[in-house]
Amino acid sequence: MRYCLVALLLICTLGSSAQVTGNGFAERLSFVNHLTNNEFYNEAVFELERLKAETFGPQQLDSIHYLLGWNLHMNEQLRESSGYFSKVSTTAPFYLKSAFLGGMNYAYLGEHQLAREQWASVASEDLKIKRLVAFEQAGLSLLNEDFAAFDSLQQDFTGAHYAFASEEEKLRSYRKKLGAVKRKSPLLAGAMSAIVPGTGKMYAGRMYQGLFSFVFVGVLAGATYEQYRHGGLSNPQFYLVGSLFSIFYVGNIYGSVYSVKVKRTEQYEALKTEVLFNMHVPLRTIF
Amino acid sequence: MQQGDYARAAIAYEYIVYAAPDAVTEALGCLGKARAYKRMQDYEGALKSLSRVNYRPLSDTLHYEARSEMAFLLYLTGRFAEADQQFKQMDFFLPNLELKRQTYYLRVLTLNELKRWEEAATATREWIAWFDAPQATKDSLDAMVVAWYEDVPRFKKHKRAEVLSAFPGLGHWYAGYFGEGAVSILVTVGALGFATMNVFLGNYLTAFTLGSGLLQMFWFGSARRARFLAKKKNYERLRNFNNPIRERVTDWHTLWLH
Repeated sequence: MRYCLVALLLICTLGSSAQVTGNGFAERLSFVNHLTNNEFYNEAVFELERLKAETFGPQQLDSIHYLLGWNLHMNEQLRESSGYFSKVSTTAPFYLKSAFLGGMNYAYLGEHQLAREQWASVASEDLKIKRLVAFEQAGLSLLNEDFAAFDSLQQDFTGAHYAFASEEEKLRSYRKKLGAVKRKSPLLAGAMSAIVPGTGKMYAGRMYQGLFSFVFVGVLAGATYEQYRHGGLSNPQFYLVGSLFSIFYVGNIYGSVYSVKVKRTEQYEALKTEVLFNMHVPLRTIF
Repeated sequence: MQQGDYARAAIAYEYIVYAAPDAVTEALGCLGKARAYKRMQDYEGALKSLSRVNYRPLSDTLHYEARSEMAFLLYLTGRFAEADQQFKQMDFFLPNLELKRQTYYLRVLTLNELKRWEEAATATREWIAWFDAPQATKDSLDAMVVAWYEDVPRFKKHKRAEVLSAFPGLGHWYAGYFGEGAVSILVTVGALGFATMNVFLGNYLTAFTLGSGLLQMFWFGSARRARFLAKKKNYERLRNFNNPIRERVTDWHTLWLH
C-alpha cells in the first residue's frame, strides 16, 4: 500500500510539472512555422507567447526565444526582437544567427553601441564568424562616421569569404564617398545669401534653387526701388512690395542655412542606408 | 466575445487550415478565420484569409458562403468592381442557387456604387419579386424603385471644369460653386488690373513680379480648384442618391427576406 502511494505521488509530481516533451512541442512548433511561412507574424508571436507561459526545458525555450525574435524581426518590431534573440543560449544551434540578427536590429534602430556590444559578445572560434564580426563592426564605424576605426578594421578585409567578399568592397567604396562629402558651413551659406541672394544655396549645392532665389529676390528688390522712385516713402505700393522683398530676402538667408544641413543629411542618409543594407546581406547569405 | 478571443479564434481557425486533411476543411478554416478578422474589423486580413480558398471541390452552399463573404468584405473596403466580380462568379458557378437571394441586397448596393443604374433598378425589382410580402406591398415597393431610378444623378466632368477655368470662375460655376466662382473672377481680374495699372505707370518690374505672379497663381490654381470642386460635387450627388437607397434596401432585407 505504502509503495503504491509513493508511486502515485511520483506520478502526480511528474504530471504537475506540465512539461511538454517530444511530439506535442514539435507539433506546436511546426504550426508556428506554418504561421511564419504564411507571414502571419502577429499570430505566430501570440502562439509563441502562449507556449512560453508553459514550462519547458532549456532547449525548447531556446527555440521559442529564437522564433519570437525572428517573427518580431519580420514584423519590424526590432527592439523586442533583439530582446528575445539575446535570450538564446550559446549552445543553441541558432545562437549565432540570433546574435548577429539581434545586433543588426540595434544597428537599424540607430543604437550602435548596443549593436557593437552584441557583436563583441559573439562566442565562436570559427574564423569566418570572427571575420564577420569584424566586418559588421567596420560597418558600424562607417555609420558612426568614425573613419579612423573603419580604416583600422578594413585592413582585415581579405575577400576570402564568399558570403561578404563583395560587401567588403562596397563598404570600402562607401568609405570613400562618405569621406568625400564636404563639410560646409551653414553660417557661411547664410552670410553669402545676405550679400548676394541665392549664392548661399549654390554653395550648399542647390544650383537651380540658388539661381531662382537670385532672380526672384533681385526682381523684388528692383520692384521696391521702382516704387520708391515713383512715389517715395508716401507710396503705399512701396511698402507692399518692400514687405514682400523683406520676407523673401530673409527667407532666402534662412533657406540657405537650412539647405546646408539638409543637403549633408541627404548625402549621409543615402549612403548609410546602403551601408546598413550591405551589412545585412551577409547575414541572409550565411544564416 | 472579447476582442482577444477573436484573435485566439483566428489562430484556432488557422490551425484547422494547417491540419486540414482536405480542401473542404481548409476552406472552412479560411472562412472561419475571415469571420474572426471581420469581427476585429481587420478587413484586409479577412480578405487575405479568404483569398486562399480553393473553390473547386466545395459544395454549392459552401462555395456561395465563401464568395458572399468575400463580396461583403470587398464592399466594406470600397472595392466595388471586385465585389461585382464575385457576384458574376456566383452567377456563373451557382446559376440556380436560391440561397443567392440572401445577398441580393448587396448586389444592388454594389451596382449603385458603380453607378450602373439600369442594372441596379432591374436587380432591385427582381429582388422585390422574391419578398415574403403581399403582392400589393411588392407593387408599391416596385413603384418606389421605378421612381428612384427615374431621377438618377448627373455628374460633372472634371476635365471640362478645368478647361472652362480658362475663363476665371467659369469652371467653378460649372461645378456648381457660384460663390467661389465669383471670388475667383474678382481675384483674377484684380491681379490683372494691378499688373495693367503698373504697366501704365511704368512700374514694369512690379507688374512683372507681383502682377503676373499673382495672375498666374490664381489662374492655374483656379483650374485645379475647379477640377477638385467638380469631383466634390460628384461625390456629394452620389452620396445623396445612394445613402437613402442603402438604408431602404438594408431595411427591406431585414423585413422581407427571412
